[in-house]
Amino acid sequence: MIEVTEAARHYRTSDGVVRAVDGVSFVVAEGETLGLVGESGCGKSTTAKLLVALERPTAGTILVDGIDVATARGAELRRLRRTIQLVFQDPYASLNPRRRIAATLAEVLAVHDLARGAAATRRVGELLEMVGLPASVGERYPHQLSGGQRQRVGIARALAVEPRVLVLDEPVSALDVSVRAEVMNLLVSLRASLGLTYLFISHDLGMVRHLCDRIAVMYLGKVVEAGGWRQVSDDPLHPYTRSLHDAVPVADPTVESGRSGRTLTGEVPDPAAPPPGCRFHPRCPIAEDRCRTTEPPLLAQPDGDRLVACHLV
Amino acid sequence: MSVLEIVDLHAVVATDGGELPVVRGISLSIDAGEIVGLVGESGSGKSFTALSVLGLLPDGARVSGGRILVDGEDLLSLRAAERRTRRGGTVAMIYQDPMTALNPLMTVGAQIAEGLRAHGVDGAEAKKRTLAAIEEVGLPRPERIARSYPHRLSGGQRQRVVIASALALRPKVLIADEPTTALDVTIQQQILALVDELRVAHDLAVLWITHDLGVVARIANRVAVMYAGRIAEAAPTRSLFAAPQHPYSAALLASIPSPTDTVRGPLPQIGGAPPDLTALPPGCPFEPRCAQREPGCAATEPDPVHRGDADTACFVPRERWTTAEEAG
Amino acid sequence: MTQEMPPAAAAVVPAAPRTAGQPSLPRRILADRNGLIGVVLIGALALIALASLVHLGQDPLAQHQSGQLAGPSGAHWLGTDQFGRDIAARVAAGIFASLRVALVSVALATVIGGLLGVLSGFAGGILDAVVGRLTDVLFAFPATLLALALVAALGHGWFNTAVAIAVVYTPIFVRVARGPVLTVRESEYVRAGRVLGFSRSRLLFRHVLPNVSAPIAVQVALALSWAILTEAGLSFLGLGTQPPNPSLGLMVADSRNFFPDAWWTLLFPALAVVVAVVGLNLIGDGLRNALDPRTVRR
Ligand SMILES: Nc1ncnc2c1ncn2[C@@H]1O[C@H](COP(=O)(O)OP(=O)(O)OP(=O)(O)O)[C@@H](O)[C@H]1O
Ligand SMILES: Nc1ncnc2c1ncn2[C@@H]1O[C@H](COP(=O)(O)OP(=O)(O)OP(=O)(O)O)[C@@H](O)[C@H]1O
Ligand code: SF4
Ligand code: SF4
Ligand SMILES: [Mg+2]
Ligand SMILES: [Mg+2]
Repeated sequence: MIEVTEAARHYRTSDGVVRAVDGVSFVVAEGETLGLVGESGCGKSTTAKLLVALERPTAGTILVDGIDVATARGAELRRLRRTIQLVFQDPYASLNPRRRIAATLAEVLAVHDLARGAAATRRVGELLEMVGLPASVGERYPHQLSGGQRQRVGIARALAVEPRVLVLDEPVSALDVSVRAEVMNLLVSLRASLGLTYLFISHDLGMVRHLCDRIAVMYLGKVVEAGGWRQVSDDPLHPYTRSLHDAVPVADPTVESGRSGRTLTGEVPDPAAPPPGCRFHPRCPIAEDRCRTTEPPLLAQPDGDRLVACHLV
Repeated sequence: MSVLEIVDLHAVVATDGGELPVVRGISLSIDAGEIVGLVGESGSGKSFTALSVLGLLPDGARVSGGRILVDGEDLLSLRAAERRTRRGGTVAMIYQDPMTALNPLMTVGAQIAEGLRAHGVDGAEAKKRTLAAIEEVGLPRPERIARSYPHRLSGGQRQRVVIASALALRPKVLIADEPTTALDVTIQQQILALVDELRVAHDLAVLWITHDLGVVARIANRVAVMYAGRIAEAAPTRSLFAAPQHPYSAALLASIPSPTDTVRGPLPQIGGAPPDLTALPPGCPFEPRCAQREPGCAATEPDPVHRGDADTACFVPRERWTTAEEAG
Repeated sequence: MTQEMPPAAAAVVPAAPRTAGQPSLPRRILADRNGLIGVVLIGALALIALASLVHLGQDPLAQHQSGQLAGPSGAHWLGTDQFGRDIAARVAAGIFASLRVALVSVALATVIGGLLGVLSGFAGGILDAVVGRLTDVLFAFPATLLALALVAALGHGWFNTAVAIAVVYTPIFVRVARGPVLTVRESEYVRAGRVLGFSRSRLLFRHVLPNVSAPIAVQVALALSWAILTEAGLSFLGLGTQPPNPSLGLMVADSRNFFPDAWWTLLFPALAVVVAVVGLNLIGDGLRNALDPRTVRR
């Protein structure tokens, strides 16, 4: 369904070239959910923008249901819009504050000639019901809804064009802990009832582990490890994934007190000046000489469906 | 011995529709060398509690009752000038966004020294203690950091500087309002480890406000769970995670995916929304969302009682709760 | 099983639905104390100006031989000037002239400047660079001097005055419109619209414009008050309205020779200018409060 090959997106800035995404490859099969994790600034959102053609790649190819995203124009671009949609992190900022919810949803239907008039009203009601909201929400403005409700509206809007793929960029990060479960459950049930394919972006390993079939870990614009959800989250191989695994606090004091107490030192490097060789080497606890000069390729591992980019794995 | 003791604290904020009760009778004590995690939904009054202790409530808000004792001295009965010397001196605070706590036009060294000077530490002594404070939070080459402006530092370095500045005066109490929310996980891990180290070294009493129950599990000795301006449950961390005594804590914990599940079912969800502070129900504020509610819950508001290891503001003991499947 | 819908639906909705939508904008302005006073002041001036059109009172041009520089009386409420003309009638007509120039000039500046600002902000690229450079050039001139030079070049007449003032204020509206457009253009809901396949014109007119109208509206009120001052200033210098036509600026200029003895020749036209400027500024304040997102989002 999604095929990303060596995609890159560089930004020219006054501080030099920022390599936000720098040679990322992954595939997502139809009906599958891929989780994309990594620290702030590693290029997760940029990857999402590339997939929905908000940004064009500076190198590489991106295919979504066979459509070449980099070159899609006109009718092809319209087909792309109806195939893949994006759900944003901030449910407030992503809704026009001056429009009622029903108008926001009906506009999408009108633009794509999907429904007008009474049919549109009916469809808006269906969409709201689909995301678990009563029809009366349609009469409200975004500021009259709770965070969780707004995010449901954001999901309903993305579903209005009947897409087959949803890119979810941190859809629960801005929500209160007690509403996250609601939205996560909604995502699971929509995936089942509509047969959706997801790219789920998050820095919350726990949520990624809960929702995804496969997980890809990014560091400084590159994928460093990818594999099945249990492989990557419970038995990580790449030193960075391991550090991440240790760093993420889990809501279980027994697990927490059993931690080694080892912390990853150093800062996340600037993507405008990535370190040579393996990008993780300045922080890697087991780095060797060759790590400082040669970049490790992303290689298949003997334990099946897993890829790791490290000289020592 | 409790260093910080909050007794029946009430705080209100003025709005168009009259005064809103934001903190409604909170009692909490923290011992020297102890970290208490304060968690709860957005708007439950966590920041208001912290700001009350520091005497830094925003305009229109005021403490309307209760006592705040630091080493037995009631901060609320002090005059403004004395209050100021306690702030920073005995009680220090660090915030979510380190940038707002730092003046962008001053070097960080000058800012730390300024804080020391305000409390009577001058000249060479101030300089020496500034550098020592920077070194203590694990920043390399303290002289160079001291000469830097805040925008030159990374988010993690800035938060370290803020901690250095907060601890330079050797306070007894440190209040931290979501200081790692804006940081990367690996940087958060470093800061958590640092605070834990400093707590041990200086016998600090720490109040750590967060949304993240994982952070609580990692560093807190005890946890207080806030709901609608009150403490729903306060208990030692392990007890609270193992056997919560309040249905809200239980529901909150249940809604987080377990890191060891191999079968991933639907997450138990709480449903509903916290009550509107302008129209609080007469009974238990959690009653409309509570899976364990009994007929009496809607009539009167429960006061905290001691059950197991915990203080819980709930009428219904755990043994009477319906099964866990229905708890969500 | 997995098919079941999360049951949160009904429960999540706050129990008491707040009134859908906001009170209308005029209402919110009137609810603001400054806005209310401003609207009353400007409303009164507008009524006086309209009254002058239908010559309800005296003819502003008629010279009454009986009383030159006569003080306020039953026949001439605000007295007469050096030619024996009724000051009340001339002030009313002057207010009309001032408001006409102000409204036309600001309308021109708003439409042209606003449109340029919105388009250049939204489109970016070369258009933005060219428009930006042009506004910089216009900004480099002192405003009054520029208006003076333009009137001198265009010739007299109220419309030319309005055009001159419009040219001076156009760059202000370009900037006022462009800033918020840049912000809104990068906002997530405009991004969401792009991903959903909305056309550029739909994004511009349906999503960007309504969300930048607030600062423009405030600017309109303020620009009107400046325009009244500028028109008065130009007339004072003899470059605006030409005698014998009534104009507030001209009346103030003329009164210089008489006012120690005939204070009414100065007081009333000056008062009219002050009331207009203060009133419009108060409306601007009221608009700003009414449009403040912090009060809108409550
Ligand atoms: N338009 C742009 N111009 C210049 N640099 C950019 C631009 N957009 C993103 N970047 C940079 O690219 C890098 C990757 O950004 P991106 O938003 O993809 O990160 P992310 O992984 O989504 O992070 P977060 O977890 O904070 O959302 C960052 O260093 C960012 O500063
Ligand atoms: N200036 C104010 N006017 C009216 N209400 C206010 C004001 N400031 C805060 N509140 C209300 O006080 C309550 C408590 O706020 P507080 O900041 O303590 O919450 P919190 O628990 O820290 O939430 P968060 O997790 O979002 O930081 C909230 O319901 C908020 O709406
Ligand atoms: S390649 Fe070397 S530096 Fe990079 S992660 Fe592996 S061991 Fe560490
Ligand atoms: S008092 Fe009743 S309603 Fe409140 S939390 Fe306990 S069981 Fe639930
Ligand atoms: Mg992002
Ligand atoms: Mg807070």
